[in-house]
Amino acid sequence: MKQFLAFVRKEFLHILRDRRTILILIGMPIVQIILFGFAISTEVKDVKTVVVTHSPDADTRYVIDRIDAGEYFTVTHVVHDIREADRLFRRNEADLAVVLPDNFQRHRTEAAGIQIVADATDPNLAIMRTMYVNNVLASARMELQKTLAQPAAAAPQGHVRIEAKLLYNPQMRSAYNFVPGVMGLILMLICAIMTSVSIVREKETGTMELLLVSPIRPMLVIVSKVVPYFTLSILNLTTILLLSVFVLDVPVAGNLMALVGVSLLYILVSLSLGLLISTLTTTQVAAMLASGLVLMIPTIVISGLIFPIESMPWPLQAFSCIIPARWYIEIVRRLMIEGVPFAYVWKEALVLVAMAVLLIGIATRKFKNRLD
Amino acid sequence: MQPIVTANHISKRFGKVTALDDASVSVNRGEIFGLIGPDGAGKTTLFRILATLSLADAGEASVAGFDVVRDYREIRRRIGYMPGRFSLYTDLSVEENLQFFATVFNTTVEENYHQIRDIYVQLEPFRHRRAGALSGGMKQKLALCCALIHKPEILFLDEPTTGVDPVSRKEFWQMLRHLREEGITIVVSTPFMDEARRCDRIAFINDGHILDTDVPEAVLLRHKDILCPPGLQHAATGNDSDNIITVDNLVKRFGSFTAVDHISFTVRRGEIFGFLGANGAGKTTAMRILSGLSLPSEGHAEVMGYDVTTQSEEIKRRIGYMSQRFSLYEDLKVWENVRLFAGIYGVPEKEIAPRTEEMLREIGLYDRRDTLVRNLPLGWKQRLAFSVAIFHRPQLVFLDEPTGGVDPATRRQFWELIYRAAERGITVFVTTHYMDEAEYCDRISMMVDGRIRALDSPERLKARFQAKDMDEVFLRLAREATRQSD
Repeated sequence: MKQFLAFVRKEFLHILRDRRTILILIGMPIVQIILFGFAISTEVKDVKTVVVTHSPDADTRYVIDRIDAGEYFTVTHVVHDIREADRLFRRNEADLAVVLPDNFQRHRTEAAGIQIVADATDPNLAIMRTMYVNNVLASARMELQKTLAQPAAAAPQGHVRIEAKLLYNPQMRSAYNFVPGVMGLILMLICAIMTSVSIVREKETGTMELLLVSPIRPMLVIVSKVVPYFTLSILNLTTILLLSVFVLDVPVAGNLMALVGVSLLYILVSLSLGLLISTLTTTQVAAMLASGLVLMIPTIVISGLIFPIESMPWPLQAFSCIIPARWYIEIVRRLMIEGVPFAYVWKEALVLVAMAVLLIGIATRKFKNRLD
Repeated sequence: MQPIVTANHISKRFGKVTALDDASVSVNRGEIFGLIGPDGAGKTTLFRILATLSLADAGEASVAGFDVVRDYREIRRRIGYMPGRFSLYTDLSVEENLQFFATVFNTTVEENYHQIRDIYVQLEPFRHRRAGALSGGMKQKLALCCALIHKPEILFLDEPTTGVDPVSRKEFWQMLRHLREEGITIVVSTPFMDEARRCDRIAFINDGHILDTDVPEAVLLRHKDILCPPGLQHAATGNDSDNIITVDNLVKRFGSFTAVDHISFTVRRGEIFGFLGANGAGKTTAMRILSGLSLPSEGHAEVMGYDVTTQSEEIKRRIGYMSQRFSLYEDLKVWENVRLFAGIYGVPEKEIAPRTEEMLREIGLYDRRDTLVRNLPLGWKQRLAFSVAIFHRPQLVFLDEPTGGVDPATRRQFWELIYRAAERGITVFVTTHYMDEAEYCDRISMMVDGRIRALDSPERLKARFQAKDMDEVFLRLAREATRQSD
């Protein structure tokens, strides 16, 4: 026990005396939460819109006003030729074009062909924008039809009115989507990078050689490495939750204790991944690359953080199952955003438990008693 | 007498490289046993196998009566080990390091204080200083304390005095003698022949083979062509009238610390100028200023007529520089390195190929021009690095501890290259820890605590201090200085 305390104390001294470590530990969560929360946004806002029309009649003007009215779209140009719109797209002065048919007013009662052209370099964004503009156009046409003096004829018979209700995130705020993902990413990176680098540093400086030649048990070295970083991760978790509630306005809808419990479990998984990396690498640079890049890319790309897992091809879906962040993000979305009780996510939590046990098992077995 | 450490027919390979080949040694209880041999001879591998850190491919070994494979836990309780490089926590203080290692070995500093007292009293004034901020000698003393804190029966010390100045080395060896009197067996490796002579018995190891084991004088005599090569003859080439370096009251401060404290000297064109001093005496700092890598805080210095403060670019273009850290690209071939540095220093394109061939033939590397530098022995790397540093035919070359870690014969070969360069009129400015090398210089300066304490030819310095060799001159000067600074 005395040995263990001496180890933990030493580890804390390392952390406190290295300004870079402190900066990463404290600064990274704050910067990432704010970056992801504010900068990366799939919300539709101020889309530069071109309207192509040949007949500037009253109806056309009405439709243009309606598009321009909300905060979603800004009509920047009204042109007469589709080729002109094309030029605007190329010069990046337009994100979306709405092509109204000739003699728009006359088509009022018929199904007039309106064309929507969107810049689909970002497909998700393009789909959202076309959907939004579609809605705007539909409601504008409805208004126009009401103003016609033929109420009986115009009202379509047996018309089914479809109303969509958006659960859990009625304002469609992207922060609701990103906060759980960013939590998964940050905790994974910090825990894995910090533990792996701190162990590999001892290999690099040769102190590991001295520890091995002592009667101390390898298990003790490992556990005493994990404890300080586990403590710090709790600090990080608190920062992240406070930031998301008070800065990003994402409330914790479900049980806070369940959320914290699952997060601690996830932290344990990440720490043991760091342990595993430390047994496989011999230099700090390699450990940093392995935990930084090799973990980060799958965690960002196929954990469901940005792209929905359901729409991935099956090999990637299968691969995503071994990424701890996938399960954690899933749980956090449900506990934090949907606010369901823990009983609904016990299966995902069980996967994390299994991962923790497996990783710790492999890491301790791989931890060598000798240098080679 | 019952041997306390035995190794029988130990072999160990790393991929294609054979580190140890059928090596056998036996160490008697209570003796200081030296392992002598160049870098890469297999000393560290043998230490690691004996310290249970590494498994041998063949053969068996026992330490304190326990087998290194089966009973490694028992052995780990009974030995103290100092790895080749400094391996303490640099961000912990002296005291924190010591306490940590005491706890790791299930003991306390208080319990075994008498064991380390003699060494620790010297460290006591710095006990709150971070280990990383200690001088080289102090670091090694702390490492020795940490290795001794649990009263080991046997100490394994892997080159404990490499990079340590002669005064600290002397003190370190006095401590080892003292520990021996207390009954601790010591196995120690060293590249220094004066330290080899202080052992009870030594084993000479080369290329993974143990070539000889006996009392030091016998081994050194039988292998004197490698271990004690004859001195070099060299006609002094310095020209009194023409100074290539003029230094006048040069000062360099780092915060409140004065690394270089008002030094003044001149170097004559064509001479071999030795720049000597203990660790942290300010040698490297002064050399960096003269080679245009760093600016002085005060004072004036001219190199080849250029001012180091305002014309450092002119200086850099006209000098050669070889640092103590080997400065070639390990993952490039021999000729690729030459080609690269020739290009960097602006050697005319047409001349590169013929000059490369001439140079490689001269240093005996022509047949290995397609070898990756990484795969060359250290001595050859050093010769190549030197030849690359003077490839653009500078008037002046700076060498910062160019021969660390190789055996005396290899160092002597290096000095033959230096002499050849000097004959061509290149002025050589060299720092070194090896006192035998100091004797090869035309003139030497001794730097202590940031100041130059003596500057003259080796012969005249020896006469002045009535010393038989440069080692003694250095010790007198350094001792004197320590007293003054206290």
